[in-house]
Amino acid sequence: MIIGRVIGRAVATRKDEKLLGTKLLLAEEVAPDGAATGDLHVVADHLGAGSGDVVLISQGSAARFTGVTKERPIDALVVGIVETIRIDGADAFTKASGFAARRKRART
Amino acid sequence: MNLGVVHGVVVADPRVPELSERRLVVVQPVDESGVEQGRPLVALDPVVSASDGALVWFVNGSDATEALGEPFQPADAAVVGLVSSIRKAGA
Repeated sequence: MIIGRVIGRAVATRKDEKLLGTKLLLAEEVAPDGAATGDLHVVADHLGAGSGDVVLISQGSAARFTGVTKERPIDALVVGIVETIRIDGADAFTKASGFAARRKRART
Repeated sequence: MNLGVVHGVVVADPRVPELSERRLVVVQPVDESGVEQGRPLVALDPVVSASDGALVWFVNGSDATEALGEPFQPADAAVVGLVSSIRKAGA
């Protein structure tokens, strides 16, 4: 899985009928410290993730192994909304405070 | 299969109900000499319970769903073994 930060929604007025009812989000991929990798992904979401949320994204055929994405043309899915990331014993991210590395940069 | 070093854990809540394996780890792919290869990723860790710094084998793509068994889970990476030693041919 990759880590992504939700930055918006993708809306398609005409789409495959198997995508009807599937919310599509725009997410920027980030490293575990919150640094953007520069890659953007359109991902299906059934967990109710919104702008600013940090999410866990499964890619490829694994994205179809849920009841709601089964047999649908989906290759990227939000499988979790991230609560914490601990790197080498320290909190790199918490939902309440955001990314520690970004807080540090904001202070200096 | 790929080699990686575990650097931490991720807690996600809510998560899709099909993702029943709860332990998620941050893995930095490395080569056989320990040199980092590409970006870190998040993998399920169903059997090893690897701690920070551990060298592990992981699989990605649909292979990961096989590692986790049926019913298939929507995960594209899974840790499948803890590496105890690596010996190159002739070494």
